[in-house]
Amino acid sequence: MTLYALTPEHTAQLKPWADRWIANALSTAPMTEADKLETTNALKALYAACQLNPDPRVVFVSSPFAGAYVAGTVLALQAAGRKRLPADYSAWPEEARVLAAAVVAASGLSTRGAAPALTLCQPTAEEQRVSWVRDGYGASVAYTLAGQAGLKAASDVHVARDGGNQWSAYTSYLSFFRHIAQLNLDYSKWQWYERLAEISGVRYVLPDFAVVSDRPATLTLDPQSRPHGEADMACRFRDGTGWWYWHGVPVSPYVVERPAEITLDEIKATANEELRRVLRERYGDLRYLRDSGAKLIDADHEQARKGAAPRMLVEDDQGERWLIGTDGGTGRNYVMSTLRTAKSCREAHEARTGFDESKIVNKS
Amino acid sequence: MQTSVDVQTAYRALEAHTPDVLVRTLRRAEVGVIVQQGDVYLHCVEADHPKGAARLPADPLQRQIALGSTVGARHVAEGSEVEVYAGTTLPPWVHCAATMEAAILGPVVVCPSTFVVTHPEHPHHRLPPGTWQVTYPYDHRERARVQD
Repeated sequence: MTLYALTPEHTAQLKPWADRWIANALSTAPMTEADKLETTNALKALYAACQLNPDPRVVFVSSPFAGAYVAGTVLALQAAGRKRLPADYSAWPEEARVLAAAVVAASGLSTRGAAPALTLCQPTAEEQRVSWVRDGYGASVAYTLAGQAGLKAASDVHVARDGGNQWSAYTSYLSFFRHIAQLNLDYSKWQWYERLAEISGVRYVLPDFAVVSDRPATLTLDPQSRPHGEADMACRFRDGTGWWYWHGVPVSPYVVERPAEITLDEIKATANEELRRVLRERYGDLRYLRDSGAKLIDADHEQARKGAAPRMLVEDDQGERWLIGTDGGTGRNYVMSTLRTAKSCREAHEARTGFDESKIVNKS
Repeated sequence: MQTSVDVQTAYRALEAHTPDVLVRTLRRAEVGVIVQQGDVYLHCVEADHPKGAARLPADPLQRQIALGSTVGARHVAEGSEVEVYAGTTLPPWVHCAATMEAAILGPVVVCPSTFVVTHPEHPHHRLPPGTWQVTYPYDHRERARVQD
């Protein structure tokens, strides 16, 4: 066996290959009928490669939310003891038929059954909050139908989730070795996974049932290419559902749309460091420091000839130190992180720049 | 450091400060002088300060001296004789950890005549001829250069 080494020709292909797959991950093109047909065939081949039912039922839905709903419901039914439903729809138990109608309605495949969907699935505000976190309404439906067992089953949906085109990173990596490096490996099973990443969105893969979502309708990014929406969903699907992100961090809708609802207690109670940082930013860093009673370490006035302004160094309730100042030209206040060891405004500023700040003659 | 100012007084001093919105003009610059525009620092350096490959002077976007495509990043060196080069070396008076060095290093601006560093929001800086090394501040929490 010879170990593969990256050649100059292959190196030259890295950037175009990455660009191609980044474009695939960011695609907002709707799945066509041809895509759906090819997806079904690829899934069957993938199931066969995994020695599962080679003829799984494949359902296409408009969003991962609808997908979680359908997949969660199936798992809830299984948890309730109905491992397999009869092929004859009319022979299904009443509860299952109503549920199926609700699923179809919620999946955007049909408007029939909308009323039972609302009756069955209308989640409480708290359930909605939980279900956003748990990635869809499947959880609340499952809870309604099968209690805790259903909730557990529905939460297992995540095990069955694959990001489709949105998980292009690893597919890009492996496919590089297939198509560019052309390693002498057996890709006969892998090829189906790779193709699915190109032609379809998020999917939920259950033992004999697969749910495939369309790609999103819109996807907005920040300058660092992280999902980000300034006032709306960053990723919106055609059925109106979607995800809210703040510079790559998934958040609840109100964090983006109604930041005034964020409370000081909520920020302090948030254990996740990234989410706490986002909540604090949306609340207002300066407001947070004021409201949380940050301790003043130092205050002074800059020395530049033009644009000098007052500033202060404070320590927050986490022991972090922050330099608060202005640029001297726009009237904005900036809250700037600095070293925990900084003892003065000057030391805090110089820790950020690496030079003696008395050299600054003008600032704006 | 102990300060005699209480925290509310310090906040009020910040809020009461009136920004100076006029163009900053520096008529003469000695090596070692620094001007700051938002999160961009321009250091006046020796004419033989090391620099890398030149960017195309004909393309005005190539004279943007901060990374990014947002309004906040549009610090642009404007002038008919402005040349912008890749930065390779921090000025000798910048001292920081090795992990920070690469993050804060920006391009080199060379101009044999007066030029202006413009920005859509910050007041402009009119600078004298010379060689200017750009640096950026470092965010210790993010472990990256500050970028707005």
